Amino acid sequence: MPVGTVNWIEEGMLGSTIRAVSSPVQETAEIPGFEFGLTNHFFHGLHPLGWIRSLRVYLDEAEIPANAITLVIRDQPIPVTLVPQISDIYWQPLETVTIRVEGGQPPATGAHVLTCSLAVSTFIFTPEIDRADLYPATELRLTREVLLADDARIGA
Amino acid sequence: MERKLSLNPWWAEGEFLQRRLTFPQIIEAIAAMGVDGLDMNDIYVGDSPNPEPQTVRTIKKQCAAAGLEIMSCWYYTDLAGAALLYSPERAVSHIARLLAVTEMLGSKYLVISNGNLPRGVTVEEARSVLLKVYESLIPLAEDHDIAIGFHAGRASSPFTSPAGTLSLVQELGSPYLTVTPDFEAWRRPAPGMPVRYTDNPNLVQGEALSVDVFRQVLPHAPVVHAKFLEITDGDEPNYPLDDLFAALNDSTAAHNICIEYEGWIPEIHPERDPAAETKKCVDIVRHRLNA
Repeated sequence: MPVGTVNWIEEGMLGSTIRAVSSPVQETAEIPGFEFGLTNHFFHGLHPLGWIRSLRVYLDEAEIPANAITLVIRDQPIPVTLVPQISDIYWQPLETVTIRVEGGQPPATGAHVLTCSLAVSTFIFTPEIDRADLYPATELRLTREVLLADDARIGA
Repeated sequence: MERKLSLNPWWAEGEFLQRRLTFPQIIEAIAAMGVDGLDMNDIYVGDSPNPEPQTVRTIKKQCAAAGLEIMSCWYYTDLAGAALLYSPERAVSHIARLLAVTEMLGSKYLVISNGNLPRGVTVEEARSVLLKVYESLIPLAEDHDIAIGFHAGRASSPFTSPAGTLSLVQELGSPYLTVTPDFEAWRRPAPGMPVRYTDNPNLVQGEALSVDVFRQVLPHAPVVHAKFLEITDGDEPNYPLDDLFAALNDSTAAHNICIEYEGWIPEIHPERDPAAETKKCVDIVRHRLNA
């Protein structure tokens, strides 16, 4: 693994647009529903999903509750709270997953500030994962302005 | 003694991740630099959890067509952690998988890392477990006829330093368990250069090792990792290259020199052309080996 503290190429990891989604679940009525792409630009980034020890999402600086977030990889939706336990679904280098917030109302169209924060393990013995977090994790905080277009709605 | 030069495609990983180079293009670029081979990195082979047989076959064909030998296969592992967090048997089973992939690619060397200590484990406990793993790896490596190189690129670390790795390897005394010394362990601290390591955020770069340690590991090092971070006026100022290459030129053992340019990372020189810098590294190694 390289020298330094940065283990990724940040440019292009977060998509520049979000799409609105709406969930009929009552508990998420107050949460904005949207999704965005997240691409694996990690160095030596060939690991099971459980290499990601935590994933947090913020829209316009408001944190989204973890239980409203789903990671969709190759059409498989996985609640983000379970991602740290996944040891045999691999996130391939350059592969884009969808991070979906199961909210009850779409965000307003136009520009938003999106932040996605990932903590990735420094235990790198693929395919095993550090279920007990005995190794330190490295945090990557991605922030960019994203656009929700008028027609960027699921089913639109 | 024989010296073969290979290039680690690590120099191109940033280009690959930004979709500026595909792996076949990286192979072509490496071949154009006039080396004997390349060193395969894990991400290009792919795991899911095993590589696709077709991918392995394609890579092998592409390298052969480019006139490149696959000199070694590199997987970044935490052998101690896997054995401690799971079991020595499970750790060994994964290395057996990597040996099989290495054999399929036609390479004679697998380079892996002993890794770092998980929280709450002593060096003695980890060393004991690692030796148990090493014992089990010997017959597997013999069966595949592939030497395992344990990457040694930290000046001070129980299991990833040249001295720590050499101590483990010597305890077992098998020619199939070797040390892969990385110039990084001999890097001189310099202003503006990184002092930490992504695989071990708690470790801070210490003083560079004595080149005497390099001479001690060379008889156990069929693969030597010549890492470079920046080329200035045709030389690499961060490493004691005069002494390192004097030791290599004095060595009576055969060595494959795995050249790796790492200056492209965001914290060093992302503005420089990594292909051009890599070619300079090849020229430096070739010149110094012939000097």
